[in-house]
Amino acid sequence: MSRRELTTGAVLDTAVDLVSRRLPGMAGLLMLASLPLRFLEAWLANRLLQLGDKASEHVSYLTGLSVWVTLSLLLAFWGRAVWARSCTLALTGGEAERRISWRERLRLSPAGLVSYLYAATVAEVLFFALGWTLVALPVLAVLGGLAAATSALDHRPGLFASLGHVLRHARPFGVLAGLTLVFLMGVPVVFLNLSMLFQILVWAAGGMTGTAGAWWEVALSWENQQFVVLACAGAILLLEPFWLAALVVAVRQARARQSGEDLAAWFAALRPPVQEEA
Amino acid sequence: MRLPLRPTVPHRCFNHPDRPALAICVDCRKPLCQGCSTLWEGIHCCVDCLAKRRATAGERSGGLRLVFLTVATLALLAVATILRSWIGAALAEVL
Repeated sequence: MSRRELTTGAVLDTAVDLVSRRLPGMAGLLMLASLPLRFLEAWLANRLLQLGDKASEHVSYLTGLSVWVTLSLLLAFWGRAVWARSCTLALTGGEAERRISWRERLRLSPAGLVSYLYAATVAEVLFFALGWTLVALPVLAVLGGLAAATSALDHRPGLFASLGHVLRHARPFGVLAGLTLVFLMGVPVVFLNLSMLFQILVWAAGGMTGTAGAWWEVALSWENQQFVVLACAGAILLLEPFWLAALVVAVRQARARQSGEDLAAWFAALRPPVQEEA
Repeated sequence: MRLPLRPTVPHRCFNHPDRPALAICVDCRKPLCQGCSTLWEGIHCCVDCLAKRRATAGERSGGLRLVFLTVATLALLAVATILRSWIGAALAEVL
């Protein structure tokens, strides 16, 4: 008897099933919660590119924008915690999970939420401190994602305990590396699809209405820096539910394998149904 | 005539009537034998009251920990806000 290996493909299949079939409403809520953050990040990035070498003369203006990004970050963190909890409930609850109300899904434990906010904020600070190395970026993306994925699991919060809780679930390494690679490749693919979709829409609208739509052609072309930044933000926004769901699935399956829960479920499925004697 | 060692303590344990009582729980005032009494922070407690005290102490320390973690998170968010604008400005100049 041998266990099936935990593979990146199997984790992705379950994550896609969660997002598209089992929890589309909650995935929409996550996108709504992340929308202000992505929009404001794109706005800040665009302003920085416009200011260029004069950016250091406008630090107070940029800090004002950064405050708004931070406020929207809190909303996005909440959305991620709710999404991770919904995914965990869907993976563990089975039929009973379908009867859980929206209000129940939105109810987060204060300890879990604060612990997650702390771990995710540490990842955010490290992102700015180490982001210039580029190598640290995927590692920090995994750390931030795992903080959300493990937020629904019970633990004792603390300055080091919350970070230790996240790091303890950073396994299996191969699956996490595989997921990171897939999503790193996914961002440019979604970006291309998204920008092409807008250009096709402009072309179709021009064909149907008979108007040239020259302004839209310029606005939605790759020469427009603002459009490129917004399309990047849109690509990340679209991929975020899949990324977080994949991490929740990986964490959940790794825990089940460690505790033997997966074998218990397998045996229960293999056991023939009990025939009731008349 | 021999005087009892602790005249205020009833003679029998509340949980074990066959055993002599050696202490009284400071919370519920039940007489307790040696096996039922636990000396915690210098006072005698029964099992139920000890569990209540521990739960209360745990909630208090858990609440304090959450407040501390929230303050730490807010401080880190402030740092992230400043770093975002400073490092962003520096990167914009380099690029």
